Amino acid sequence: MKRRKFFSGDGWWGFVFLLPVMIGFLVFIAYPMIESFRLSFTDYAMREDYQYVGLNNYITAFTDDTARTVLKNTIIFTLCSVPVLIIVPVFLACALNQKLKGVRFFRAVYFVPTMISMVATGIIWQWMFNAEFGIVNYFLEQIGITGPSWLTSKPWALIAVIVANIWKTLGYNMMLFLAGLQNVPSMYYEAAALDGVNMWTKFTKITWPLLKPTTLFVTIMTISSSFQVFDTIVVMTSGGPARSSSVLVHYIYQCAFKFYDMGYACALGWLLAIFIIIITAVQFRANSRFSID
Amino acid sequence: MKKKLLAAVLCLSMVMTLLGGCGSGGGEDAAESEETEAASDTDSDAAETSGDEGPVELGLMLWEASEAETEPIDNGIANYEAASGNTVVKSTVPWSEYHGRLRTLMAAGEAPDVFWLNPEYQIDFILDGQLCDLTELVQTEYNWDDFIPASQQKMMYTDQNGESHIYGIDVCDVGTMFFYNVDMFEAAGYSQDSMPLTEEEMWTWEEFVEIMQNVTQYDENGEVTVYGTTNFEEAMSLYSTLEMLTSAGANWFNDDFTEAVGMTSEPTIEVLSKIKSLRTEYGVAPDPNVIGVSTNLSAIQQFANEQVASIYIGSYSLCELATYDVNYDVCLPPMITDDYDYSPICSANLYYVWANTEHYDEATEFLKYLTSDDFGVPLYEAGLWMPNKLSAYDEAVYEYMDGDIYPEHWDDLLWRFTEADCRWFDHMVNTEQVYDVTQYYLEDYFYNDADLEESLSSMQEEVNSLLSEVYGS
Repeated sequence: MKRRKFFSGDGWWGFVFLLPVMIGFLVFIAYPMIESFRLSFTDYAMREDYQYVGLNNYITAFTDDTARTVLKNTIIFTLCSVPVLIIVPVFLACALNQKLKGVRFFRAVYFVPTMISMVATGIIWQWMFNAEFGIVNYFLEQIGITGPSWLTSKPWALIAVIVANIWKTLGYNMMLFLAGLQNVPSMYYEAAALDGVNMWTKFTKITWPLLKPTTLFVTIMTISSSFQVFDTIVVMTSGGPARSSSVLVHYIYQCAFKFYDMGYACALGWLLAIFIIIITAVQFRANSRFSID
Repeated sequence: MKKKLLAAVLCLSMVMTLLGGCGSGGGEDAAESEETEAASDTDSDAAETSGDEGPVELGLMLWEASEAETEPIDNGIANYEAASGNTVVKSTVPWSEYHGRLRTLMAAGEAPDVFWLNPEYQIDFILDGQLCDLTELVQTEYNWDDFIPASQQKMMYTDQNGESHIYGIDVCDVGTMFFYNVDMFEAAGYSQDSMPLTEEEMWTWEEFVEIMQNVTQYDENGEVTVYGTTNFEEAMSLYSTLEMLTSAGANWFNDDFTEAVGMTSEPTIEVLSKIKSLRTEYGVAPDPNVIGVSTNLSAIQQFANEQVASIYIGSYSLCELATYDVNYDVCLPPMITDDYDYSPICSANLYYVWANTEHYDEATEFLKYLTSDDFGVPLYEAGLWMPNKLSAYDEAVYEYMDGDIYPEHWDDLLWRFTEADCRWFDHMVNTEQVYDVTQYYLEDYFYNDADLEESLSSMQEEVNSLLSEVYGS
């Protein structure tokens, strides 16, 4: 009876409508994930003859100097990007949440970089960081500073990529915070105003606590995307000079599609996934511990 | 009910569309998304047959080095299709993804029947069993002695038993040339007639630096507006740096290229130091930031925009340079060391047949056409490729050299093609990893002042580690 109801009722149609997404998920996400996990225990090099090597690839990842270098770069990238991409968008969102003349124009201006493709962003910033003709060094020169050769200098290449990534992502995070701010009931601010509360106290006692779910979401997404940055680096520096701007995903790509060491690349991919899962879990935990009831 | 039925049909069609790209279909479906089918009206139903059963569909994969080659290649393919009745599906893949894509297609059993490879990747594919042995074909269908030495060297593969095989067939060669802006050099007092065209006339390093200093132009604030030269710091995979190293007597590998032995040699240190000094000491070459390494402008574009007065680069640049309004000519590069013995280098892509092709006979027939003069001459005329046969340099080559593309003194330097050797790296294994290592250490020296001897020593150690993965220690 129940089965007949399922096939004739809305449940059946719901299943039919979900089918494309489910098949897409199984074929393009679930199966590749399972397969990459299996391959991470092999020496698969895009050849038919490969062997299971146990945990060798995972052990190699912890002894590989290049993996350590790119992990260090990835962590630097994340530590430099994420705080800026949380703090600045919050304040921008607060500013653009005011009833000011032309506020929509400014919202659009800040959001425009998000709509530009990552490759175009990389090329634009490559020009801006050009050691001889670039606008960055031009402005530095105006204040008496000789700008470095950004993209071919070991200490500066990663910083240049971080700046480009921040420029690209800032507007998106700002819009998320703006959406969060617009869900904060105005009555709290009205009550605070009646009590004569200043702006900073309003921000710390009302805005920031009520933005917490948004902040958690933005933080998780920003950290996750920082760990997965790839295209900007490929376009701007190709990971150079001397691997100074190469990050984990770039190295995984090289191992898989340049060096054909697919088994090792899969192992690195899974280590990255585990790392992101742990960080996300810690964030959830910290968020629940410090949440305000 | 009708609405639900319609929705169900739409969902099913979505599923089919979603999975459409996964079908193998003999490579047709997956290929067509990125492939441009060369002009042909041949009945596609005839594809997938072989031998005497009728026309077949052949896959051809290549990269596009220049737009100038697209038309001659497409015309050549159309001519082949008309003559043979077979259909050719051409895939053009960007160079940066080329070998990864090819390897993936091979792993999926979907590789094209015929494809390009650069010779430095050849041995890796041979050892993977992905290439057809064409030794017999070359012995029966080609005049081996007519290939120039560089072509013979890059085609010939000697296996670990000491037996020689040919897997790839050559159609062209590319060598380094020193291009200069005639007007800028004349303005600095160097006429076209005074430029070196023979080994006896080659500049010493000191003369070269002085000339470059005189050609370099400055504004009223002392800022450089035009650099004397560029591209001496070319990535190791290419030509100019290697040519200087070999000419200076450096040799980074043993005779059978199974071990790196001379990367720390005196000539290597002298050559690399002098190359770097052009930029850091004499200021006559631009920072690589504005050239090829993480390019905003390619070195060719810089030359074309008259931001540099000369450029030491592969002859393939010719067809791109010809599209710009620059008065250029060629001469010999400088002698970088005192006991310099100019040893020109040539290399370029070869054609291969996939080991698992279902159409071996048709693929080799197609290959013969692709490596024939009928196919090659229009590409020689476009200025991208140079002929790879000695007989072509007797007389025929002069017919190819169009006045609008080839500069005035090009024909005086044709000997550098017929006397050239191929590159060290054309004999390499684990090539991508080796390039990665050499790039790492050379970038560290050129752009970050790493200690050169230490860098070269580490480079040799790491390269040997990679070679030993294949050859054993």
